[in-house]
Amino acid sequence: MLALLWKDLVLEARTRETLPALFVLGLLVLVVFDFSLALKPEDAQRYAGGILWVAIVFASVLALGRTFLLERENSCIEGLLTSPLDRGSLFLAKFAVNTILLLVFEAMLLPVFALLYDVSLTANLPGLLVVLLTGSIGIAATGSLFALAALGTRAREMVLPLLVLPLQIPMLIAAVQSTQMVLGGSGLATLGLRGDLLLGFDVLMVTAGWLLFEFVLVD
Amino acid sequence: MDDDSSSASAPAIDLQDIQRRFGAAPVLRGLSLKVERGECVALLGANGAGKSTLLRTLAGLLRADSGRVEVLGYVLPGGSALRRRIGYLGHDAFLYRDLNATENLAFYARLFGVRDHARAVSLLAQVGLEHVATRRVGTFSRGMQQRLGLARALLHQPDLLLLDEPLTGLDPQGADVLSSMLVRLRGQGVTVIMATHDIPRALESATRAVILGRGRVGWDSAGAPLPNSAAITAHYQSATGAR
Repeated sequence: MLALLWKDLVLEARTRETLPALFVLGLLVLVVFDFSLALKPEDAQRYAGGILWVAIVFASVLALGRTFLLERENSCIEGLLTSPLDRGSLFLAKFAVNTILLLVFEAMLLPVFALLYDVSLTANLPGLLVVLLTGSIGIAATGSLFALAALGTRAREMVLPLLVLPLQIPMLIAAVQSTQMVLGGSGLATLGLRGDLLLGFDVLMVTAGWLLFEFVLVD
Repeated sequence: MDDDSSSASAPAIDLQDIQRRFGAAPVLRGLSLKVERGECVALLGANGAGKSTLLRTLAGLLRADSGRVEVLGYVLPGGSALRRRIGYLGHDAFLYRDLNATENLAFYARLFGVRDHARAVSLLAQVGLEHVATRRVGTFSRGMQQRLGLARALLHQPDLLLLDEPLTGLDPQGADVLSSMLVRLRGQGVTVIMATHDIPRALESATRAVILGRGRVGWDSAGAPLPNSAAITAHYQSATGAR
């Protein structure tokens, strides 16, 4: 599993194909919302969380779609499938790579987000990081599971969002509300059901991906 | 979960009445074949005869719709213990274009649990690529990728080597390297199944020839000395209807 993780990160570092594209897309979403809504500082806390997650979700679709694209080149996926690596480990490696990419992307986006929406990161950073981490894990887990299924279809760019986004809705609602709360100064302990939903979704999707990946890979 | 039913005395391959369709199109139609350990089989047949489908089934990439597939004593689908003993080179070499030759081999070595770094270095030399070991594979020609793909397939010292048209893209020197490696592997007791259209080249290393026609074994040299290229070509024409 670590070999796969190493390989994917080396390839991303060399080709720089994913992160710049994610950043540009995320930046575009933030800028468009900023100019169209022209939020007053007092409204920013109310809407900024939602806007941040719109940027993350749109960008994630781009990243997740690429998950198995490089394995398709030269039929490398067949090299992986004929290796002793068990299917669950293959899922976990892809999930870990996607989580890392999303977190790096979010780290690049946060300063711009803070600047455009007048959000104080220093005051809310620990809580915000926890919410971003749990949300990113959920997005990466669902995406890693379905990216391979979508790869086998003709219209894979269309199929992946159709499969993944409806599934992510409950988690996204919890993530948006949690982000609004932590940006408003609430502690993580006050998140209640939203925090439970975020964590529960992560555990459920990572476990499901690990157990079900074998069946996605048949033929 | 691994099926640990492998038996050292079992044939390398035992196929009984396997069928495989792609949509409505049948490709394997009740194919039965037994290959003993240490045999080097040239798998011949026209395009669409089912050679690649058969190899992909043996490699665990496809499942037969019906019939029984046994490889190295494991009934398919086998687990990781079986995959560890099979080397497979398909139409593509399964190499990452943005990794160099050494990195590609190092990656697959880790997947297969091969800790001997010298093994990769030695294989690179055997396939004649030691001078481009640090060059990215994306800059390699088709033949060079094929050579590296062969090194990748041999990295973990498999008991069964499945080669799908390995001569494609190889220059005469590369084909010589492949033939001599196959002869050496045969001497080490490795079972080799090589799908190819190049009958004379296949005969340099093969101990047996099997011709597929319409998804079945159309002719098999088993139990008799391997005939020469002209005789096999005649059988080929008869089994496949080719002229």
